[in-house]
Amino acid sequence: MMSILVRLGRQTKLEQRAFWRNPDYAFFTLLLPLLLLALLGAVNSGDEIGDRTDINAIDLVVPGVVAFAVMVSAYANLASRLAVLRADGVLKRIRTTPLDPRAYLTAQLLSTLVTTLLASAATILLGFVAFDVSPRAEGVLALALGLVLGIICFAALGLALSSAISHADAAGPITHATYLPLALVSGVFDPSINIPGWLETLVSLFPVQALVELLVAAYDPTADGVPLGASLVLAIWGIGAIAIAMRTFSWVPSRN
Amino acid sequence: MTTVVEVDRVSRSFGAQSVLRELSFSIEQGEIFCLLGPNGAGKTTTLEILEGFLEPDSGSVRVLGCDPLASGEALRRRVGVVLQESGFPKFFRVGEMIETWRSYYDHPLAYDDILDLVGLRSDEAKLVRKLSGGQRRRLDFALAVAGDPEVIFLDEPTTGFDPEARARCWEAIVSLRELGKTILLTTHYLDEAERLGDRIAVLLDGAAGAIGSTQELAQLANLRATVSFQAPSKDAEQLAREFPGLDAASETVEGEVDEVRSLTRRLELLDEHASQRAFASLRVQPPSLEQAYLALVGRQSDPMDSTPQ
Repeated sequence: MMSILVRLGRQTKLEQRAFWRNPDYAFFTLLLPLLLLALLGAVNSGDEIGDRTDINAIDLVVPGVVAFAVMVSAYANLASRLAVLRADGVLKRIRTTPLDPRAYLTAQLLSTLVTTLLASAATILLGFVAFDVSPRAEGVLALALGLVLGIICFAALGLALSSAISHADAAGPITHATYLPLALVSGVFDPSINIPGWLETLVSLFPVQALVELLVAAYDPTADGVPLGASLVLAIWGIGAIAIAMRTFSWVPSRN
Repeated sequence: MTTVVEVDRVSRSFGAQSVLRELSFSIEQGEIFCLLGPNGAGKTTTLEILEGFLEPDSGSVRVLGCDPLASGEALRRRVGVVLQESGFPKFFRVGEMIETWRSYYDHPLAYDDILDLVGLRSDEAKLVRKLSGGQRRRLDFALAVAGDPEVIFLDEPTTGFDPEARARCWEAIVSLRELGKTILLTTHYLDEAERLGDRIAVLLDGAAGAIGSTQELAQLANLRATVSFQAPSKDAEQLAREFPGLDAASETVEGEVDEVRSLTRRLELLDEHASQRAFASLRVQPPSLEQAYLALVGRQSDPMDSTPQ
């Protein structure tokens, strides 16, 4: 048991090293959410949301950008990184060693968890330092649950999606195309967005809005406890994605 | 001798394309076994089946007595692999890659021994993405031997090497054999197979068209050694009559013979002076692997070539 934990820890450390040495991944994971928050904050900091007087738009923009950080780091980066590692033959090389494939993938997920938590924490910190926006004490459970469920769900989705990307060149376009439109209509960047009822119903079935809802609950003073429906949506998507990833994950590049 | 690798009537298709057809061969411990064949002959498919990446449609394979598909980590501890194409995490250094790979095994080779074996001592601090093609291939090799494997699969290990790098790689492979490792090597360089291979299998149409040493392949291809020597005229004519394939012109005898040993025994029977002269001038050129290979491949493709137009 101890040796498994040591192996896992060592492999996670290696994955972290590989991740942070790659300037592209480091930028998109850590700096992009911060830049986005700085820009959206500069635009929205004093705006009101509808007729609410208790909060400004920036109070809900911060959790939206935290959700964005989770999606970029846990989903888009993991999916494209694994797709590139597969296309380059790195995964196949790993598979020739006695390293337990479950240990390798768990280390990838743990590394993603660390990276995503760092990106989320940096975004939350910038929200506090630059815009004086912080989670409510009563919202800490919703924040913690949102981050844990969100990271697990989106990392599992990233793992499942990676096998559908047959060429490294397609990794970026495919991953971004699968979450950015949903992020836009789910109010990630604009919490006051108005969308038609049918679209709202449709969007509520996807994990993006569920994640936003959980994280917003940590910041919105009118929120009542932890949104259980949103938690359930994230859990269902996460379990489904893990099941798909277990069936479809491939270590070797496509022969096509 | 212990059989380390056994391939028994393995067939494998990709869609409608049949790549391997009842391929069979076995490799003994400590042997360098070369798989030779034209592009698309099934060399890499064979290796991928032995490495557990592919399942045969029919037939069976055993590596160190284990089924590669079912054995998992236990077998991978004992096998080293140089894949035909595989990448590295680009932002790692050479030394870090080797240390990482060593950490995957219970009893790895010493770090310094690996660097010396593959000649990457001066590059250990280099980032992998800054290595040349030849240096990357050497790193491939380093990672394959890091776990001190009993069996090593090398898929075209010297492709893209300059002549010096090839020579170094050959030395490394020979060193591994001296350490008792069993090596399966695919290549389409005939000189590489001839230099390294204890036995060579020529893959033809998805099956082992011929297996053996260069000499045995030459015999299978009906190739004969070329000989020439000097002898007095009367002896020269007599020998030319006794050995079909030899021609005598004045005091020079030359041509191709099936059995060089019979000829040399016969030369010993000449009178002392003639015998000394014959042996002093005797030149024997055995058939090369290239000749044998081209004869075998050509023979296989002949029926198609001779199809009436």
